[in-house]
Amino acid sequence: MRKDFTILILIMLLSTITYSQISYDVYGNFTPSGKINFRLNSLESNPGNYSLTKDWEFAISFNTLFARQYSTNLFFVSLGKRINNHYMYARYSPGILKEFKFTASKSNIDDSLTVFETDLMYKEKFGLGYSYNFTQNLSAGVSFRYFQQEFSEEFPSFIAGTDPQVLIKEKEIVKKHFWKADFGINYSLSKNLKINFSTLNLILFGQNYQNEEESDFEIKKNVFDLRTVKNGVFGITYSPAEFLTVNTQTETNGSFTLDLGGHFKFVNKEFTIGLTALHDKYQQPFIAGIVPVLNIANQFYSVTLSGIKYFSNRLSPRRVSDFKRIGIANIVNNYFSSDAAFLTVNFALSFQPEKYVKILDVQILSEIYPTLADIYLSQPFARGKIVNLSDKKITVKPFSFISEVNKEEVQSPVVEVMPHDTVEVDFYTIIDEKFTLKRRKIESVDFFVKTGNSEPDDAIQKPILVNDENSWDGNVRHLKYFVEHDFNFANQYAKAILKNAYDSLVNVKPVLKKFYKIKILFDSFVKNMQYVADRRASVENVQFPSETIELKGGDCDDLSVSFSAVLESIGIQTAFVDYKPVGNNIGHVNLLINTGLKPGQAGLITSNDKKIFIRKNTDGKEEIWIPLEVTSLSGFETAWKLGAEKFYKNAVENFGLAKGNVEIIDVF
Amino acid sequence: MKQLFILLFLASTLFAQEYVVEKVKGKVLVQKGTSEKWETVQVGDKLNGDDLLVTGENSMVQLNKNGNRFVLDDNSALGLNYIKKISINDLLLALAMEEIRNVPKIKKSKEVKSTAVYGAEVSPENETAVLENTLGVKKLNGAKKLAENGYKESSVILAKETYRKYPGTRKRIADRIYFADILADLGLYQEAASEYASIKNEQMTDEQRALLEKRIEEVNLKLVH
Repeated sequence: MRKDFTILILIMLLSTITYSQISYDVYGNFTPSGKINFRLNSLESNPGNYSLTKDWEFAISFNTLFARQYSTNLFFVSLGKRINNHYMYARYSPGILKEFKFTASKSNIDDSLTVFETDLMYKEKFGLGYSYNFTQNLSAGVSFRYFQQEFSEEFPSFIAGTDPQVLIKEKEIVKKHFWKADFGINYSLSKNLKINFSTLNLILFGQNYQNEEESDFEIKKNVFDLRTVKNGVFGITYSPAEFLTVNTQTETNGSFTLDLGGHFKFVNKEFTIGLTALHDKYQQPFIAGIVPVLNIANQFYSVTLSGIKYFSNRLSPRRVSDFKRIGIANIVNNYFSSDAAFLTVNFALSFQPEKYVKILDVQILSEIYPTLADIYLSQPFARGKIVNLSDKKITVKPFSFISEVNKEEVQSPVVEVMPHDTVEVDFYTIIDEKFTLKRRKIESVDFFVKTGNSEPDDAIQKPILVNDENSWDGNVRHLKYFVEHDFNFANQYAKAILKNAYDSLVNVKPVLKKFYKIKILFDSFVKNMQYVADRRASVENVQFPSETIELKGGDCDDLSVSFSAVLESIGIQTAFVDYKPVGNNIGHVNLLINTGLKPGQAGLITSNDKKIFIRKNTDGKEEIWIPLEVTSLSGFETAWKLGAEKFYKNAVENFGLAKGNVEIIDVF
Repeated sequence: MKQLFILLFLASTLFAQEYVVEKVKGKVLVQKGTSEKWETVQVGDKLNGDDLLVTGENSMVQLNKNGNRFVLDDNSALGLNYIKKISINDLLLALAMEEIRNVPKIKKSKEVKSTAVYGAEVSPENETAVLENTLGVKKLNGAKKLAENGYKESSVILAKETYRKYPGTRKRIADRIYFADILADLGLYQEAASEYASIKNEQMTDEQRALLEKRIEEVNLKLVH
């Protein structure tokens, strides 16, 4: 028997898409630019599972190999899902496999040859990925990939007891499998510059075999095993212009890729043309090959055509000794891969329309006070922060809906947001005129933003305190809303009093009629009126004028509001005087009332000029206003005197008006 | 009419403390706080800071406060709370109140509109009773004496208050230039220029107009530099 075997290598690429060195990806190495929300890479170049996917994403990939044999195969199917900041990815990849066959022959006694085959099959069947977005710019994740190796080796055997000996072929089969786990991190330093780092072959686990160094069978030794040397990959992606991306990925073993990608929009689709150059430690020449890529995407699908062209002759037979020496670190692309052209088509489907804007947060600025309804037309009750997720300027329509308070969604002013910009947006509301609430209540408010006319891009819900209709926010400027609440009632009330006082007024000089009307109305108003402090409560309450008059009592806010409504309803100007709390002095409110008299006519009503206050009206004409302490319930003269003393001392003599300790707030 | 106002406690600050009347000559009246009544002042009376003293022709009153005496001579009126040294900052605050006190020309809130009509019943001008300008003039005299005795800031505030409440006194051009000059003396050139400008439209003698033009030129030079 001749022991000398002539060994030849026949490498058959049965089903593969060509990968280059360990981290090379089927899409080339360009990363999604932000215009494309689909995942345009897989776990090979993206162990950190980074993705811009918004929701569900399904992808299917076929490959066609134009090598010694022509074949079309399902390469992989994958499913991705984002839940808030979590992104999960699963891949089934029947097409990631490679088979190598070695043949050897043995001369028989009759000089015929018996051929013995060694068959090496490498498969990567499953991949799983998980990542988490810590911030808008920082994502980190892990990936797990499941590998199988099936090696068979034919060997000669002789049938015992035969003469001459009969040679037969027997086969030894070794099956192995294991998982690889890797980690990756992606960080956007700016809109134009991103970096990434990931491990390669970080952890291997679940191995079911041990290599037997002393075995007679080579397939039991480690010489054919997939190389799993630990490496790291550092990558930089830079976009010097909106239409251009440069990417490089460098492995710690010296291999690298350099990718140039161009982006443009045409017929509402994003086009990307990329070209990746490969330098592989295990392949020659220095640039072992190039990978052209064409991607066409819109918000519903993405199609990628890619291929690889090696610069060395891959069709010539290779030596087994080389195979043992170099090995393969990547199942489908290695030193022994054929020079080939291929076609890969990817489809990715998103099941939700693209969202252009996201609400980062909404802050409630104020509780809702139903009686102050008008302030919410000019003053936002909430302020949100939104971000434009797209690459284009968008117009965002903010909406809010407060349950029980609003009849329908209330749209606030639209805002324009530049690409990827974050802006604040104010929410206003319109309180239904018929809305009444007798007790404070916590309601929910829905905030949502739209960029189209149909479904909201994003929404968020917050609780909000809705006060009852007598609640007041403590801002004296807002007391006017209580004044106007019962205008008709106040008008009827004033007219009834003045009608009864007709005889008193008829002989009064016209110039003094307004003054005497004030006097008569106040004297009647305070008759049987009592000062009643607010109940102890966490929120201030103000009675409507009709309530104060009917209840015949109230505190300084109630009485000021009520008497202001009485005067304003018959055309007499009033202003609240807001004495702000200073030191140990508590805050207080009373009234300034326009007598309509000119400064030179002050002698008609008083001989003491401390009791009058001169104000220019909107026409620039000076008029006499008088301070009135409405809580003084013993009559007009006393109320005027007390009001004047307090006003003169606090507002004038101590410069309270200029220092802001006293404020005059015109009711209308 | 010669007025004499002697202040013996220039550096002291007097708030609403008690004054004792030591001497009275002729007709001297006091209006206490916000009272409508005028009372005759007699020796031994005690007066407070919020009281207004008024002297008639050939009259005077001497007050004592903690050993410090002053005399308010004839035809003058002075609220005792004005006899105090105030800072330039407080004077500026007081001047700032001129605008704050007015009805805003532009309504800050447009969302609420009153349905009430602010109309004035028509009244012939001759029916109006004009408050005695005499008191206003006396107040200006009191203010000038404050200035002469070092209370320049207080004097300006009192003068402004008087012009507002007694519009007839605004015609007293010499007095107005006098108080505008005080603003310039205090280094408040912007305020002085504004005051001179407001006087310019009033009727005045050629001599007064020449003086006013000179003052305007001087204060403008100060502003430029």
